[in-house]
Amino acid sequence: MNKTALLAVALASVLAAGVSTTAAAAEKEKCFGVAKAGQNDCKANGHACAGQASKDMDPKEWKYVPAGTCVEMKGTLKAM
Amino acid sequence: MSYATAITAFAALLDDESAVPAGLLHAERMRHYRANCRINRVAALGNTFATVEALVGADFFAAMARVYVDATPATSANLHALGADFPDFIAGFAPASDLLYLADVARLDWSCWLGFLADDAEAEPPAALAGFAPDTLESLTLTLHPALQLAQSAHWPLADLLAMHQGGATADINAGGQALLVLRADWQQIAPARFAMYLALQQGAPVLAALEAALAVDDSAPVGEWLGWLFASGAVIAITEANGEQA
Amino acid sequence: MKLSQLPVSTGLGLRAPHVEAVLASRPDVAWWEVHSENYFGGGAPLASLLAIRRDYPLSLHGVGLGLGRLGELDARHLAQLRELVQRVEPAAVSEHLAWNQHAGRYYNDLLPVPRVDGVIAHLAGRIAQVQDLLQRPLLIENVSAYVGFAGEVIGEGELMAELHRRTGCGLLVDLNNFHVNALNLGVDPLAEVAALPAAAVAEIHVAGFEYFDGTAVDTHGAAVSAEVLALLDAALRQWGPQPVLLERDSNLGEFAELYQEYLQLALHVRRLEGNTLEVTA
Repeated sequence: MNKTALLAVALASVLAAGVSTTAAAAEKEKCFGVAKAGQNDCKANGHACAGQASKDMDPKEWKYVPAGTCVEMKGTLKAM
Repeated sequence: MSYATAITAFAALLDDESAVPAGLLHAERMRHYRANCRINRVAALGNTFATVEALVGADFFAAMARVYVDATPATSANLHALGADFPDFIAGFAPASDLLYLADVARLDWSCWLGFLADDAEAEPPAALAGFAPDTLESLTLTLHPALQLAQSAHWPLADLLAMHQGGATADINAGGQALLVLRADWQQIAPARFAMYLALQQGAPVLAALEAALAVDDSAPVGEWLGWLFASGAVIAITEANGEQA
Repeated sequence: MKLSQLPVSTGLGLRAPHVEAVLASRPDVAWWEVHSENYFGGGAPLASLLAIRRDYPLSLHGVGLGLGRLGELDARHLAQLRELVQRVEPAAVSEHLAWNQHAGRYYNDLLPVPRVDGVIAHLAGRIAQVQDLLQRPLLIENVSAYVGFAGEVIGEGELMAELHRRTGCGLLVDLNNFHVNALNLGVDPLAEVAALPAAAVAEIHVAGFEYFDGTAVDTHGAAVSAEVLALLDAALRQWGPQPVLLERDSNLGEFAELYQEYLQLALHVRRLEGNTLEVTA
């Protein structure tokens, strides 16, 4: 398709598309709802132990193991 | 002690618990402030990077986020605005290095977040293009709505991973790279050619160049339909001619 | 100009997890207060807030401006706040007497202002700046503190009263924070209340606190204590009926639970005010 024809087709597609086509709506999936945004508050947390430097947070002495949904996919990871 | 001196002394103790507590009473309680600052940020990151948190579990995530928070001074008072560089941190975080896909998933979470909270903007209707001759599209640029965000991974199935965490089937991590778009709270997987086209438009390329970017990936790409989708979805907020005038 | 358009009745803090329940059930709450920063930006959160605003008076309560910080206030934060105020047209706009930034680094907490030499001029200038920008009075709120500053020159209540005198701002009096400061730092909450002129008071906050390691922390995660309810009684006797807000931020259960707590507080306040009227009559 040459440039002029391409642009003519594109422009015609836009003008024919209308607003909020059902095709556009049907393929959507939801990320999250309104409850998601609310991290700013004026409470204090108080857990004083979290306020101190601690050795277990040193990556060299890391003791945590990923234990979420990644476990379900374990063993399927290929080297890149 | 002056006002500025007192604030500065307090801040020094927030940054470094071994600093001298000049002019402060009950300075041992500073740990409560350090805890608040840290817990507030870690909790906010868990909210924003929800897929990453689900993948690694709450304990690993909180510990990883804490290392990030301690190494990265906050750049905003608004907790919703923090975390743009968390994906890059994850990419270099040794304890997560086995999870090669984690940084790309974090970029996806951040895209979802940006799209969800972007400022409102009035959309241009498809009819706004009616006055243009086809050949003006060669130099016309579109401003896309900030609620439209794009995410792509060269290696990992981002759409399958996201679907998995919304009740879908367990993703096959070796399914290959995927692209998707986010518009407000909605998302959909898109073809790589469509990703290339929207990315070009987002970066300010003229409409023709963006269509050609899609066709370079897939020479049968339905670019007119994809352009139409942007308008139909309210994802175009300005049309600008080459001379800089807004339509 | 009136300090606020809040109804002189009891309101409830509205948090994100409850927004959908509130939109669905439209409970009998006189007014709501939300945290301004949670509605910076657009999309679904702001749309839901505007839907609530159509049916209820709304108070925008900021947690991130950091009026006490050194240097200039954040221009983007101010612009976002102004935009939100223009869209929501709230009955009240408030902020904390706190700081949150130093030397380019933010601290995501409400840090207490040192009431040392220079504090009045510093805060009065920032409050005036915000009021000029918003073209309306700002309500300023006292915060809780775990540490104190040596060499303070003015009490918290006195400082708030002086800031009202200088800038015309309203006072948002957090009685739980006075109580927490009494427990941690030995201040006299009744004296703080007594220092505040009735004409300057525009809103009262009550909430719950918890102890951690012997420090009283205003977690907003427990029922309002008996001491704070007694302080509310004393405050309403001094100032007459005021908008009173119940705040709950952590240990946030189902909305129905919080609503019961709200209804009890609203009833308690009506009884107090009934008694107050009898006393003053």
